[in-house]
Amino acid sequence: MAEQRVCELTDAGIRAAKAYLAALRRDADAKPPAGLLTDSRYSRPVAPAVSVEQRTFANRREAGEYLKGRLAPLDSRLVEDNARLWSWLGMFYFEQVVGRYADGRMRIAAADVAYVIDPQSDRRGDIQSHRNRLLAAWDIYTRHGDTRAQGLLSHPLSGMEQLADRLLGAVEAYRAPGIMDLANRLYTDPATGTQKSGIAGGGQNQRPPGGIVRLLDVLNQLYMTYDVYGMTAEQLLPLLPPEFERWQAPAASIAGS
Amino acid sequence: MIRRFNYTQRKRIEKQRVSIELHEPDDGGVATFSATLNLADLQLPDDARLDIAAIGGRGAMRFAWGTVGHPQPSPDCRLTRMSANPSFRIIAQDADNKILALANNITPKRAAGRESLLWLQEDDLGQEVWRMDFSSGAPGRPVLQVNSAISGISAAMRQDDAMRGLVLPAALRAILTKALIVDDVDPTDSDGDWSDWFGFVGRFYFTDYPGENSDEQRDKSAVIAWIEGAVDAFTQQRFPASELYAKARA
Repeated sequence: MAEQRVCELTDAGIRAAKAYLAALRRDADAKPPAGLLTDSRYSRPVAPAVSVEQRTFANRREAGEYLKGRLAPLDSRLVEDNARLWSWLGMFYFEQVVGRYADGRMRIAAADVAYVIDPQSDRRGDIQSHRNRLLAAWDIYTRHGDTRAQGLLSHPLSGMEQLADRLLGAVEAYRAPGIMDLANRLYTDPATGTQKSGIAGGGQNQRPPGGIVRLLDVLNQLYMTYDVYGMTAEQLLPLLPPEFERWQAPAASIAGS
Repeated sequence: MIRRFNYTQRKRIEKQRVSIELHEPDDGGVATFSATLNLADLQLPDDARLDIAAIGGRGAMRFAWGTVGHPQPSPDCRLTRMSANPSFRIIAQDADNKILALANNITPKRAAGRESLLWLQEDDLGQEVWRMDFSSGAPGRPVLQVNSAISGISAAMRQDDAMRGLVLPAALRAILTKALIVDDVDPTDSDGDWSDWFGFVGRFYFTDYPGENSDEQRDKSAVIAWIEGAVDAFTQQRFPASELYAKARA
């Protein structure tokens, strides 16, 4: 497969990519603008030069591992904050990051940030860039890896499940290795390495007992007394209320409870 | 006004007890920091463990710092994968990880320079020349973002009075509005997130804050009038329009 030099989208490139997403929502046969990834009106190369190639990612782990290696020559702090870079990658790997219905039709996320981070709006105030599919995969893999994020990394690249959305959105908890380790132990099935079901309930505002939303609430309460962001999973586990006991059991036991 | 009650037994480590200095990286390297803590008189147990947490952007790091009785700087104080404007937290805790004392949102001093109240940062702003950012830094540490596509804009913002005169009064107005209207903080709280800014304003604006020395009710119009007075005093002292105009014509 041919290698292609990694670029950033220009202002015109961002506008064109967002227009393409809007068109796709109306017409599944809409085509991306010609030259979006190569024409200097839309894209400019990053420095130092790095390249990527088209490939298939089974999950976040594969994408995160691949991008970690390919983007390694770039300053990681600048990679993380480079909305234009992630937007270019989102378009380059669009077939990988976009969801599909059972009949094969594209399922475009409601928010463009899943694929394109608009530097003019998405970085102001309430930052939602963690919802970008590729940035999330790269960040989880490089920051936590399989030791603390096995369940998150096993998730398909094209979705943003509640566990990832809640954890990545809770910046302080996401930064804390002990809390990520704790969430991994609670919500990952050790037999399969995938996420247990029922963690987030059925809707955006549901708070099932012992689920991820409740965990973040409880940690906030505990922080009034304990240094939760500096504690290990072993230290945190005994502090959790009984509602979390069911999640400490293997997945088969939970299903039967 | 937000009032806080301490129902826990943990103590507050006042900012003046903490001095953290940030050492800038050379040639794109990694920044480091050094810290001096004065925890005498806080009546903390000598064996209470000390940690320093650095927080910036989506990054965070922890540094073990010995105990209250025997502070021991971490051998490796490199701040990797951290935004350029980290804030720090000091935590004293017992063997059960219970927090005994805490200092939040400590802003570091820059080595060989004075502590900066307003961070300057070049960023991709599209067609905007500058913008205030209250989300990427610590609370009370706003960032003045300037358009990275404009060559020399950071130097102009530091040295060119015409540029500074156009931007900084408006920036101060935005900062005080954020603190007093949006966050509704108590400007007399000497240990609050915005206390350094109110200390700064107190150097050139001497009007009592609405309700500070009386029973009068604080209302938004009085607060806005106070903010406008502060910006006016700042402009008169630092960037009077008549002088800027004369310089521009010279």
